[in-house]
Amino acid sequence: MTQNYENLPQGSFDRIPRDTEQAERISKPSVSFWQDAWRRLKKNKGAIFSLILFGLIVIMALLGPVISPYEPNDQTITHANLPPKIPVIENLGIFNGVGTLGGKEIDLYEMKNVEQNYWFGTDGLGRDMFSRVWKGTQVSLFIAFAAAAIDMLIGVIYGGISGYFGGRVDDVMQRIVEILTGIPNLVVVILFIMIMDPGILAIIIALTITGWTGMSRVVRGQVLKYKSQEFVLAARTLGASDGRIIWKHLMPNVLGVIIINTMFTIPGAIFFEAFLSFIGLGLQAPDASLGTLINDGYKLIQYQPHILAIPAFVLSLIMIAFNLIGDGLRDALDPKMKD
Amino acid sequence: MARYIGKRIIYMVITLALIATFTFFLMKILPGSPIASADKLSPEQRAVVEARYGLDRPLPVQYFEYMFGLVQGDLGISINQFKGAEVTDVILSRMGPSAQIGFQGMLLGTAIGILLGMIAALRQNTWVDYSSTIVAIIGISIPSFVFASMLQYSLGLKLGWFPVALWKDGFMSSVLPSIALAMFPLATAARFIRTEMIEVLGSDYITLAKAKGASGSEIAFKHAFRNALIPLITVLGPMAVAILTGSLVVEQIFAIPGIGEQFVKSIMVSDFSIIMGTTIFFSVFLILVILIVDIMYGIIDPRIRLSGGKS
Repeated sequence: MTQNYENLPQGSFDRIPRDTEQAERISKPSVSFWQDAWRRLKKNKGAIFSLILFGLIVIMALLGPVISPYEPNDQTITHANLPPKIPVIENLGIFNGVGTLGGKEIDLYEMKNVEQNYWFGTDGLGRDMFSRVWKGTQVSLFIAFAAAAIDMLIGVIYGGISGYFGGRVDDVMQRIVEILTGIPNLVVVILFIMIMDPGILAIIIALTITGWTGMSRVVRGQVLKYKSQEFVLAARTLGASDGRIIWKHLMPNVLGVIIINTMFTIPGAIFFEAFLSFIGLGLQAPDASLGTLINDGYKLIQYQPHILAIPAFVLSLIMIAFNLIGDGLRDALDPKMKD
Repeated sequence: MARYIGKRIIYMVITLALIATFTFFLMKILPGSPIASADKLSPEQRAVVEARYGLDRPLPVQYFEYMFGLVQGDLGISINQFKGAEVTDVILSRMGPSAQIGFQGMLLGTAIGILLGMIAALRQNTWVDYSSTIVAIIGISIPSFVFASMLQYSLGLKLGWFPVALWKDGFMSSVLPSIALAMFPLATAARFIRTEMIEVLGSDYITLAKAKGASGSEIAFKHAFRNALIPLITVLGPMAVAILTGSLVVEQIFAIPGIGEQFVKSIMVSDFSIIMGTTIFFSVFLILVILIVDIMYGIIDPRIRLSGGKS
């Protein structure tokens, strides 16, 4: 290698002087916390896939009942208990409208002279499962998002006040939370559902009545951690008001954990809604949520497994997607994991 | 430590008193009478029935009687479902099956979960690791009642390996419900042990053990595994909650004569005293489990002197 130095053409190289000003220059554009988090999230295939999957489910939940030619609650008794039948795919031997009747495999559509196709089949009252499942998904997602939003609001305010003001305020507020968290969630939810008129609102209230305590604890912990740091002291020295310190200085730092916590509240709420419906404390007929659909389907599991399988599958997909998104966001937003 | 335990027990008592008070008044506001077909009785008959069950006395008296009874373990009497049977007896008589499937589910779940998590950590970023992660995600995400109905349909109904429902074939009847309940502990344990093991495997004393010439399996079991196991105690609380919640629906699905099934049935027929009694029973159980878990953790791992409760 060394002998080649003489052969190098003159003038190919410039001498770079040491420049003290250049040494401090930032050569790459600075990346904000959120851009950084998004980059890390993008690397997580599971989370991105789940995000897309969840997007599709939301689109279907909104569009499904619209594109289906049948209303979710319209009953056509002559079309009851039809298995799923989807054109094109039926040629593959699945979703072809073949069901068992009296122990024999038979095309029920032909037998009952049904011209239409029911993509997800029909239930015992001849209602179209396709529009019912997506309508139910809509309701379940609405309940979960509303509950998570209320939890977040109460939790952030409560935890924020408790952590920020500290002292006696914090003591009293924390004692209350300690007692509330001691009460099992299951018990509170069931009791509250019983005193209220069953419905979407009742479920949301029951889910949020103690649900916010988890969020308030996390937020309080974070606020406690950050409020004693120098940047807050600096802001206070410069005369910033309490409100400004909370909103401009503490909030951006706490936002990460708030998002992560919410992402785990949502699947929890979806689960509880389905659970309540399953034990008979959920929505009342003819309203449908994924939970009530599963409950209805369960009664017919032996003869019409599709009525159970489809909503159960959608519910499971939503739960898996949310857990993966939550995991991905935690890894992306948690500064401790930053490498 | 003693101060901490004392404090925790005081909180526990306050919480339980609140729950009991709350449920008592809730049941009183609820519409409907605890007496079956109350409308058909003449006022005199009603008065007799009410006097028999102490429903004619002023509310505060009833409340204090109820609370005194509670302290002595008396949960009242079931009026409409069991014709005057003691709620405590009803609950106790149904504890067996619930406890059995709960324990079996817990044991099965944590054992397989620990194994899965360990293998995943030792074979990090291989297909073993990925498939164990997938199992864990599925176990955490899919509700136990979906699992239960899937198991019932496939292994029970279609393949006929296990009884479809009912509590008639002894151990065989308990297999499917136990598996359904085991999924959550399995997933939680697998995830938890994997993370802990990876962390422990990266620590200095493992490097020392390697330098000392310890074999791979010795390091894995003697050094890494033992230390990874301790923090698993912290998730026992959530696991117990999940199993109890799951048991309500799983018992319903498999028609098991347990507490959960009774509870759901009582909700349907509004048997208030059973609902109240079971609610309090569940609360006591869960609060005790969480208390024991916290105390155990403090004793086993002295590095964590439970200062976490304060900050």
